[in-house]
Amino acid sequence: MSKYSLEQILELMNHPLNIRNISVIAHVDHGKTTLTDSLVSKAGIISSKLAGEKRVMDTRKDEQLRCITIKSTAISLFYELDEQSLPQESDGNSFLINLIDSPGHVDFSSEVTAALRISDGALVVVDCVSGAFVQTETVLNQALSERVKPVLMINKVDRAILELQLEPEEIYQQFVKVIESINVIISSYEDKYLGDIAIDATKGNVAFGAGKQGWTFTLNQFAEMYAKKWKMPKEKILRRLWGDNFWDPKRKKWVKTKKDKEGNILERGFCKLIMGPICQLFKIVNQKTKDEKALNKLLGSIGVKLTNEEREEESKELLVTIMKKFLPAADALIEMIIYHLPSPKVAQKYRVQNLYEGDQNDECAQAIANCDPEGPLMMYVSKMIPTKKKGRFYAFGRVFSGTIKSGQKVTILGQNYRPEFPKKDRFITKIQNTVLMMGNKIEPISNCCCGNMIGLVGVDNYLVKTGTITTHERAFPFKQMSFTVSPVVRIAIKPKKIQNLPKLIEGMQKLEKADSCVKCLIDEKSGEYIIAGAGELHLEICLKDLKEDYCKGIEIISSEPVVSFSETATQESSQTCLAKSANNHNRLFVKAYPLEEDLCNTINKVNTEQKIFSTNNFLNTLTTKYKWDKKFVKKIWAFGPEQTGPNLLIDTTKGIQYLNEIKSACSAGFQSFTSMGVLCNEPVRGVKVEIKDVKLHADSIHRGENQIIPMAIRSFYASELTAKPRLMEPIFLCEISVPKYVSGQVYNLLNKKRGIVLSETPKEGSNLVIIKSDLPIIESFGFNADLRSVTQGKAFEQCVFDHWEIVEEDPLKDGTRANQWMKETRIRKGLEPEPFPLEHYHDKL
Amino acid sequence: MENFDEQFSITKTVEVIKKNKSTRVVLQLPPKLLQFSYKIEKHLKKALKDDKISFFILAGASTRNCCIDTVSSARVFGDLIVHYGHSCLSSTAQIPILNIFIPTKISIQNIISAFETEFSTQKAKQMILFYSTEVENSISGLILQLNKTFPNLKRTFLNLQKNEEEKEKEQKPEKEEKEQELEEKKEKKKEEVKEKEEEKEEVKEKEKEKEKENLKIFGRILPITDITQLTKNQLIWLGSSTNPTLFSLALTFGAGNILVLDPEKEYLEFEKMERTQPMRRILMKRYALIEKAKKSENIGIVVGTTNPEKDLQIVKYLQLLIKNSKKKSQVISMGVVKSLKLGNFVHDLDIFVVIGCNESIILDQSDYYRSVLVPDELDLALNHDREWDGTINLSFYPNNDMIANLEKKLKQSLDLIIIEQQNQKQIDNLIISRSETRSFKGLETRLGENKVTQIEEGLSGRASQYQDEIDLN
Repeated sequence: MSKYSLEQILELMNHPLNIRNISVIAHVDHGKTTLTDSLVSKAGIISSKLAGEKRVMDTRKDEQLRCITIKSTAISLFYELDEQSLPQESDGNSFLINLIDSPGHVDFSSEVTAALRISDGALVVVDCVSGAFVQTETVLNQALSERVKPVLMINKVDRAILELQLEPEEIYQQFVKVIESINVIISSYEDKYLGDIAIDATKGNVAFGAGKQGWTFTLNQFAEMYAKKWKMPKEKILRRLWGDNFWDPKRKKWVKTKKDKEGNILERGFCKLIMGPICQLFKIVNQKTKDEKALNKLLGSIGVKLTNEEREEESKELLVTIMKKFLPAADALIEMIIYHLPSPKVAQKYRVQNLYEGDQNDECAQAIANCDPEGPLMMYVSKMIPTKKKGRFYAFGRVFSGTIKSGQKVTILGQNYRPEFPKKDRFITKIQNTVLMMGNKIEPISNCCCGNMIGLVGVDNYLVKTGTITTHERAFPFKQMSFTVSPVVRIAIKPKKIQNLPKLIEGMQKLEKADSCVKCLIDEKSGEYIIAGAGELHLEICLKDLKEDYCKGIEIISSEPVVSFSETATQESSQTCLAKSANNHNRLFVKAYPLEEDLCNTINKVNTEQKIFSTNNFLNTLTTKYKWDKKFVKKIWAFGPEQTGPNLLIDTTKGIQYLNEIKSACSAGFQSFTSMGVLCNEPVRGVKVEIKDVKLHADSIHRGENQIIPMAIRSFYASELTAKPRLMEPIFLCEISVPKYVSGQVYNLLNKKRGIVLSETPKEGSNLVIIKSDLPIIESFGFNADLRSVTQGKAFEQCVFDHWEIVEEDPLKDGTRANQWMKETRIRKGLEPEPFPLEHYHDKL
Repeated sequence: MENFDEQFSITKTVEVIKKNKSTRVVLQLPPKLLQFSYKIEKHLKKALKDDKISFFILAGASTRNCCIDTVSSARVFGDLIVHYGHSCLSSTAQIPILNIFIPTKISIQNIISAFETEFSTQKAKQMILFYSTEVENSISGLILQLNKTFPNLKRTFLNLQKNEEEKEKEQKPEKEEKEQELEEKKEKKKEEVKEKEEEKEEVKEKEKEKEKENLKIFGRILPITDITQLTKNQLIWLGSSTNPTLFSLALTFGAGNILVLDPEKEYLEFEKMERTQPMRRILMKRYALIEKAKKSENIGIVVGTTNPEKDLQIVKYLQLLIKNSKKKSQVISMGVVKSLKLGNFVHDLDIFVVIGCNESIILDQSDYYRSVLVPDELDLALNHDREWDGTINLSFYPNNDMIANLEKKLKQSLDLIIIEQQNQKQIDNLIISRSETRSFKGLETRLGENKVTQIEEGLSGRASQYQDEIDLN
């Protein structure tokens, strides 16, 4: 069936100039997977008849069933272009497009991150009727921050013509609006290395079409067509096809104004030459009684020939057949991808700075920049793909330099590898096999040269989720990906039979490996086994995977989804808190203060990006932006939890002897305190603890870690308790698109769910309004179903974790909601329902 | 007065002291009972009327309260240890020991009626009765009564240290129980004759007898010879539902098979073990620790008992096991395991495994900065041949085969390393010296940097509040 052979692909893989690595990204339901079908069919993997319906890239059963992409899927496609119209830098007329279809639902956006990391270009798909959504913005931002060049595809034009019955001019306006909204985001990323990446129709980096019907065009295509017809230079026509260029039929010339001198409305070039004919075609074909004459005339002018059989088709199918022949989707897309997206050779030159942790002049960096097949092997594994064999994975990623071969001996640098500790998380092993990912199929190949995407067999046991594979001894790892989604919704699971616990854990580990946004935790203090994910849908899919795949045959009991809270302080401690060590010989005096939310976010950001706080940059920010005293900035002892979280421990004492000795013990205590706060053992967020005074025993044996750590924890707990402790709950940013006439019901529902409406914007060209609101995650369970029922299924919502918000009620006062949450959390963790009183932590002199 | 005598078995103690001709008697009391120590000593002295006998009260033992503190007693050259209160009965010490269990009053009638309501309708299944040390005094009478209606009920015996005489006496009921119930005295004589006859017989015969010896576990002698039989029986616990021995039983044999009857409750009723304690949650927590042990790099082996002869075997096994898993181990001898003591090692060790008595599992670890495991848990974590069946064997003890097996494996893996090194492969051992990462690297000497000053007066007073300290709040 396939129009090309594996040998052709293998041959092409050695020509980086003719390779394009791209991801298809968009908001959910904007038609990525359907559009991809066209590309796949062009390559001959499925018949063109099925394109638009088959959803080849949805390889999982549940994906097909729900018509939603859950995991990103990769495929390598082979195309041949005409000899005359090759791009400047190319090597023959055949091209290899490695394409990743990514999920659009926000719960799975970690998949997008992983896909973009190994792509050089992104095909951004936008529904022309509903326009750009939050998720479009999010994924585009992700692409740009990875220095991935975007091209735009305005999809579902058929809806604008058929459903909304828009006139060509209105459609044009709609297009302009979409392009503008995309350009707004792009313009905020000025990157001299990427160059001018703004979307411009006349440049040809935007395509219009309908994935479902399998047609797409760019202005370039029409310009070429008319150029042939009128024997005029292509460039001249191209100029007239976009923007304010109107055809004045009386004077037979192009003008820049909408109206001629007599006040007659003129037709825009785009409408007259492109949208007009298309709309007309739609009209003629959809007429109840077919106007054969008009149809034939039109077909003649666009140069489409139909067989007799095809002529007999129903109008709907006939339209698809004609459009597929007239403007085949794949041609326009392939042209756009090949001309406007960079080859690895080009892209890696500027992407290397964003990718490689080591020095930009070292051997590996140079090899990456030059995409050198002879250089040291540098490959980034961005994702684990489950194999057919249960429990094993392909490590999927991209070779950035060198060549990887089956049987080759390589060094694997895991996520936790740090060049400072060269022995940790570093393994040497053999690559068992290299495979090419072809949708749901794989093709084993013997080697793979740089610039390509590839799956590896036999390294999954060494990698948690991502990692670097190299042959260079002193190679630095690739930079870690930062995920925009945080796992805030969690469920606790347990096996029905306790003996199956080991198998459950094994399954959890595999689940974690397969999905970069799942966190599987074992809380040893409470004996809870927890899966944390981005949202309800995400967890539902995870649980399903666990039950049907990774833990097959084990009965699993799962709890209702719960949210994780945070604990914080809202004012300065009302008193200096004192704790004594068990031997009474040492004392610690501390006070807690709240930290600004803004600073917490800065810390979190610095944490994910650099992992080092001692950077002068960050410390300078503290003094300049947050007006901290310089001498205190120097005395930051610890961040927590996990040495990186948004809480600070600062030493404000003066001239204490042996103080250095207890620093690591206090820091250890601080980690313990910040990972489990005093209220209900939830992580602490936004608390600064200042050590006011310390008294230590003169003999070092009496001030060992065993004395200091418990004392430190107790004093920190006391300081939190006296600093007006509050719970923080996670909040979703919820975007709901709904017809105006049912928006009232949505408001009511949001009100009931404690949602706060931020904005309501009407979508032009439709009767839809977009309601943006803050929605507490704890209230969001079942929100989807409620929304459907109150709006009769007319509303569409998308929720993504946005921020933590302080619950104003006092959790220590009986009868408040915060108090109830705290008790519930404590009971779930097997603790006493009430936290200990202050006296338990605060000692008296 | 009589009551006190009864409670602390003064008469029995006096008997034993006289029989053993002890002169230096050590009284080991748990903190809860220490308040009675003086009174006990007074009563004993009064009853003995012998000035040569001196008493020593152990306040603050160097072992857990349930174990016999031979170390402290050796310091005063004690020749008899009287242990009061709950005991784990796992001591193998040579010194004479007298266990005094503070008895609780039980109503035999109520217990029997509880048995009747629970089991009258059920088909006779073999039952094995375990009981807490507190009811030892009244257990024989109870069993006698119970067996009338429940012939399928077998009892366990406490595995107490006995002198020769007692041994002979008690071996009889272990073998043939029913006979005992019928005609005790006659049978006893017969048995004794039998015993003596047997002793005269060939050594081989004796060895055979030994093989058939009844199973001993958790300080109890079981009426069965093979551990696999145990799970086929219904296990019954007579005693408090928070008794540590019960936990050991439940963790080792699974809680599902145990029914609990707490004689101190007002209304006597059988309860399922799982009902009285969140065993599921405990097991989930314990398994979380096992998972943690798999990821730990440096493991501390804490020897927390006072009979090292027995524990050497287990230490050796654990060391081999850890070495085999390419982890590092360190042996620490500690006596009573306390979080503060373990706290001294937090920087260097990731997890601890405690070798202690049967009841030394630490269920509540909220005070500990590093998790504390029992040997069986570490074996589950590191021994890949084992599959978890939902229990934790607290009587885990490695035999010589297991050690030999590990030694063989270790040798093989060492060979493998050599081969791999020949292939110029780098074996990445995970062990990292932690000392490099410490922020404190010893006292600052600052020689010549400090100004020379006069001697200053230091702090004075008690540590909890020095004289110059005023309350800040």
